[in-house]
Amino acid sequence: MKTLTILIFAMIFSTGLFGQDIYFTKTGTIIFDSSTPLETIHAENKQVTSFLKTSDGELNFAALIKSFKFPNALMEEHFNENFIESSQFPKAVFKGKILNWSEINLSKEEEQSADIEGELTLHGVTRRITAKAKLHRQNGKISGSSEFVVSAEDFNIKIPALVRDKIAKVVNVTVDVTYEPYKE
Amino acid sequence: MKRIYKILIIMVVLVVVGVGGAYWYTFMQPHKNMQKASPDFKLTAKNIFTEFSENEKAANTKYLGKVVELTGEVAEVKNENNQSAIVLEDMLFGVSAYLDSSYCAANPKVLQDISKGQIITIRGQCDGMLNDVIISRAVIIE
Repeated sequence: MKTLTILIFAMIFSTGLFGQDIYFTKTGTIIFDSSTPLETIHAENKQVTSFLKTSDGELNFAALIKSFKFPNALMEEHFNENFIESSQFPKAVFKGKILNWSEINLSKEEEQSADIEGELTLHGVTRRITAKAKLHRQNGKISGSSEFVVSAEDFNIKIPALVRDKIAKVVNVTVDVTYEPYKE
Repeated sequence: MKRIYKILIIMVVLVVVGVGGAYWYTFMQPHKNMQKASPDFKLTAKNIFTEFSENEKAANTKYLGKVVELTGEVAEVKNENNQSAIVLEDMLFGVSAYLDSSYCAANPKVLQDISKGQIITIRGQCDGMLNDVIISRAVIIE
């Protein structure tokens, strides 16, 4: 994990040398929802770090699991301790790219749709995922949003039998970011 | 006979109150109030960043989810994505303390008195390190 962070920053700093093509945020939002009719399970993380490399559409996300905040304190505790084991696996990381980057024209102000593919590491398990996203340029910033579904089972997250009916097996993930040009 | 009914009713009421109280206590208890919480660790923003950057795993074991009280120089005060944050020491190599939203709602002017270069102390939960150390549900101590 640490090498990854160093790598990300090494990349940011090295690319900074040949032109400003990094867009960056430290306050992206990831919301996840695995509600069922029996229970509302909803958490929000508003401190997601992400960058987009505008030269080739490379995309990176990193989020701390402890930064996922639940309205209910007990639910937050259970999520951290019993499900995602955040003290053992404190981070979620996504490394990928926008597949149709060459077709996206961010000099236009209208919304562009992007196909994203990459590797999501969560709970110590890495899986390839794909997602559709919308990109939009406004006032020198690039905003992006996406919605996709992950299955708890894929990431080796076990749901105890006692609460199995209350928690959905698939998790809806919503991502919202507003990138600003990275300044050194 | 009447007495038995009385006792029964009292018992039922006690059980209902007890179960209700236990339910509330377990499922509805509020988040930790950082203004009242006693810190597990008190240190400088510089030192916690150094500990995380030198050995992230050890620092995670020590600080993750714990209440920390950090002192440092204000590098920036931000309002982004509907949340207020105080950056201590450095934007990328320091501490970002995201303020508790209900604390901010109760003290709307709290950020006005904070300016760049000032030394302040904040208390909050340590979430870990991304590029800087992230503190959430933070409140300003002084």
